[in-house]
Amino acid sequence: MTMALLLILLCLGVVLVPLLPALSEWHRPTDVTPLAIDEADALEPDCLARRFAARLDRALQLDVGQVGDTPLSTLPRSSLWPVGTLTKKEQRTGRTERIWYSAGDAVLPQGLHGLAEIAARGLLRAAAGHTYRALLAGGRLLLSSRVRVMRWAHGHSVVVGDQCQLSARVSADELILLGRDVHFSLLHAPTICFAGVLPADVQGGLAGIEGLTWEAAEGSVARRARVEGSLTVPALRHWEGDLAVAGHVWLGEGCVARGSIQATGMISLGAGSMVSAAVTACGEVYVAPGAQVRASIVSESAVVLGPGSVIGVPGAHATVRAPQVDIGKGVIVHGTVWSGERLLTVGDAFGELDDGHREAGVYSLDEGVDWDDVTGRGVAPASLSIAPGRRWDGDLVCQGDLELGPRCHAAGALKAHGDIGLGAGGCVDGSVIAQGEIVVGAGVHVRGSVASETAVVLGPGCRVGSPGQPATVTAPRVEVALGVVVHGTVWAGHSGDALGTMQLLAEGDGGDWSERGEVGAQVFHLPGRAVA
Amino acid sequence: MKESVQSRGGPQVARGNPVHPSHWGRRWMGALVALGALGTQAAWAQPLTLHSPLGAAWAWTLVVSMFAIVLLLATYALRHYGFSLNRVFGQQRHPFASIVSADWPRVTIFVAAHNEEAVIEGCLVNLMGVDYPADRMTVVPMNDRSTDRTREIIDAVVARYPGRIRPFHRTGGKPGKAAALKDATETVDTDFIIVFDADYLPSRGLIRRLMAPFFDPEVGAVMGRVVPQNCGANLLTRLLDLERSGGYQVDQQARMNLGLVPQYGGTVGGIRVGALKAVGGWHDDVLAEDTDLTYRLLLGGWKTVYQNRAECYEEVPQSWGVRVRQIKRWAKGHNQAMWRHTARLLTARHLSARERVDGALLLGVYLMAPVLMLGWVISLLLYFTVSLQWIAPALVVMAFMTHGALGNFAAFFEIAAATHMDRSGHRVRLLAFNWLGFLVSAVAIARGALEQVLLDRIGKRQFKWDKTVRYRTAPAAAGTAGQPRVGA
Repeated sequence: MTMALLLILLCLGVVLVPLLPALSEWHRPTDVTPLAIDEADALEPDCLARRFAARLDRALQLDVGQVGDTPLSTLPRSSLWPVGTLTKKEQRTGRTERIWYSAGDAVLPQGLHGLAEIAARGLLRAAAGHTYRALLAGGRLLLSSRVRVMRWAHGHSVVVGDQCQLSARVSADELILLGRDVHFSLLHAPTICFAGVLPADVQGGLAGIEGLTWEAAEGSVARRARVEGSLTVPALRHWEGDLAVAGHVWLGEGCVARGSIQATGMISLGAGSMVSAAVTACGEVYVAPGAQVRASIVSESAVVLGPGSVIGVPGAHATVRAPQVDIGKGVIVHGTVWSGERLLTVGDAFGELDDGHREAGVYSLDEGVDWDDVTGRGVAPASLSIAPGRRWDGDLVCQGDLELGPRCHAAGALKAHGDIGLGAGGCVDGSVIAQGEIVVGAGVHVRGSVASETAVVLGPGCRVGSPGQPATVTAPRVEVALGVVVHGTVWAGHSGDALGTMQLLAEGDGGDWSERGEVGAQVFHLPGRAVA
Repeated sequence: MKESVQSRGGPQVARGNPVHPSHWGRRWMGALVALGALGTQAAWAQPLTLHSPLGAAWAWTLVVSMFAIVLLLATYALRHYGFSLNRVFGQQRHPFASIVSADWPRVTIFVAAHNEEAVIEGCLVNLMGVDYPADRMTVVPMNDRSTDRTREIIDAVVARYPGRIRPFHRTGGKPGKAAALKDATETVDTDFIIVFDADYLPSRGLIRRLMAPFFDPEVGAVMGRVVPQNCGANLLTRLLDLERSGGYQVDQQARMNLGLVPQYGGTVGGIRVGALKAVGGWHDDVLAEDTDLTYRLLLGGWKTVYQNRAECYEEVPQSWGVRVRQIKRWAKGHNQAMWRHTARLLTARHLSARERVDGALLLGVYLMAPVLMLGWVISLLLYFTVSLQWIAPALVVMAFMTHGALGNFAAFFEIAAATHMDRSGHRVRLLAFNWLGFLVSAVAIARGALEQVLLDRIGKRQFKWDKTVRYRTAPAAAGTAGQPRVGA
């Protein structure tokens, strides 16, 4: 009987005990407000900076001497701070937990890490190798080399030095310039340039070539510069005028030259670069993948045209002339190729698939895609390899891997359940979305967003988005080569790296292009045969 | 009635008609019994024998039905436990959440309204405050033959925001939201539409978050998360708040994570017009145009994406009667979609096996309430009319508990996981009361299914606006009301 009673009590306990907190909460409600919806939109990249700026403005208006509970102090203008500016504890630990503010320009001193926000109405320069919680500049924000920012950094424009560690959100009203080997999480600005070598002048931009003197050419409105000795132009520089160099010329990735280039040595045009007038050299001329020369190329030695490069423009024919001419896949020449001794084309220019590909389940655009008449969308149930130079309208969904040859033009969006490889010099008018890895080849222009659930690799000289038409690059892992320009946002979920060197290879395409890689460079293999 | 049972290994003392299963029946039953955690060595050593004064057929029918029900409920229970575990411990998929910069496409935003004078202004005013480029969105209040002041209020808001709102006043044609959407969609010149019900209060970044997935050319529809705004009104709204959390934060997001079938819910959702046309447009002969469209898109090769951060406030029912009518309506619509699409879904070769199985389970989800209630009845009948010669008490108790408990607790587990992820404080204390909401819903759904089979005939029914009662008060005169904002 006792056992039975105990059993009944136990059962009642099991049923009723969970009801006690419920009854209590019902009787005296403690949590009845609707779930908070993110009205401030914390996903907006510059949300934290805007929020702090508003709090700071309010504190300055009220002249309360603190923002929230944190003391607010005035930043000295010079990096040599007067005695007494720092407390003994700050001097001893080399860290400050105060919020600092300057109404003009400010240079942060050596030996002081900022564990609270630091703001300046004008230019703000962070000390090399130091760590900051958050930085706000009304003018240009300069992050010297090896600076670490923990939460956010915002400026009218932001310059990020080599080897900075930005686990923070970095945003700018106008421009972000990045150096080499920068680790980042989130970058957001109308224009983000992965320039590598940064301008020496703190207010400098990417226009012109540093150290060069231009002079007006006789009988012409064009200007001209003469260089004695070799010339190396860093990535993404752009200028107007003719260059005459008594030596070798190396143009960085994504450079734009509105004029001719003449050299007594060799000329190397970086991936995705563009030269609008003739290129003439006594030595070899190397045109990297995705580069464009809108006029003739003449060499007394050899011309090597990288995959996806374009020579000339329709209606204004150009000539490629050299004793030896090597032509990569997907190269377009509007005009004449005149080879005195040897003409070598690398690989199958048309990218035709053989039976081996079909056995591996890889099909071409013509045979492997089912196009929908209503939506104009094409669906490929297997992997797809598209020959160089193809153009099509409409979105394309591929349920395997998708590989575009050099100089393809997709007038729509691309989606793949596997990996996507975009060949050099191509163009995609829509977005590129993949569950696998996305490798964007050299000189490719993607007008829409690039989103992967695995990784995105942006090859040298490529562009994402356009001025006024922003786009997002997002993936758990993002790697960006030199000369890349993104208009909008780069958001790396786990890790993002702006690399100093990167080399993109195609499977089976060693030889000429792999030999040009630098020692220690990151090497990525594109799926299939697309050469980036 | 209750027959005596044997103790394990003891002599058989039984009355009634012993029944020996046939060869196939023995194997099938053996498998079921094993799944019921009865597969001990000792149990297998003896044949299963049933006794019933009502005959062998009766006994075996009950037992087989019971095990089938237990198996079905266990499948759903496992599915829900799997979803909860995936949300708490698994890898999360938010592939479009980080798309913040884009050349946003033009979009038409429909606000479905039939006698919505109490709430329509709030929805329209909130839409005027979103951060989507104003020149790329057109708001179309879809006023379907309202007899109250809905038209007057809409026209007043249109005058307040010139050029931004294009009202669509419908005065004739087939009644119902699907029919209204069908007519309104024909007037659209954008590639995308977003649909809200009139009681929703869109938040500032909502439209961008709903539009971001459309950059994926495979996406045909996008679904956002619904959050009750009036959750503090009474016990029912608080329970519905918990249910919504479980349904969206865990269930929908887990389906998104696992590559299954997230559902377009008819509101706080976007649709690609090209995809809609490709699958035949809106069907105005269905009870749940949202579920119907989800499956037609799926079968047509389009994906539906769930965006957990695309949150929007709604008004949930504040009385049990309204709630019962609402869930009955949902159940009927869902069951109709099940009737129409299950066979095609299961044989669709272009879909993965997991999509087919989960899609079918999702279609059958509103059948589980009548199945559960049938299980209760069978459990009682089993207990009082059948004597099992083989660890019978354990079997009956297990069966009863399995179908009664697992099915319930799995859903509760989802709610608990959701409140944990929402960091929503003390509201999880009310979880134990959810049995009440669960019971009411189960009865309402079962009644709905019964009506559908016996009265409506599945697939055919008269269509009308089955409007949910609103609890906000209408503005005294158009244009004079305050400007509601999210969270107000």
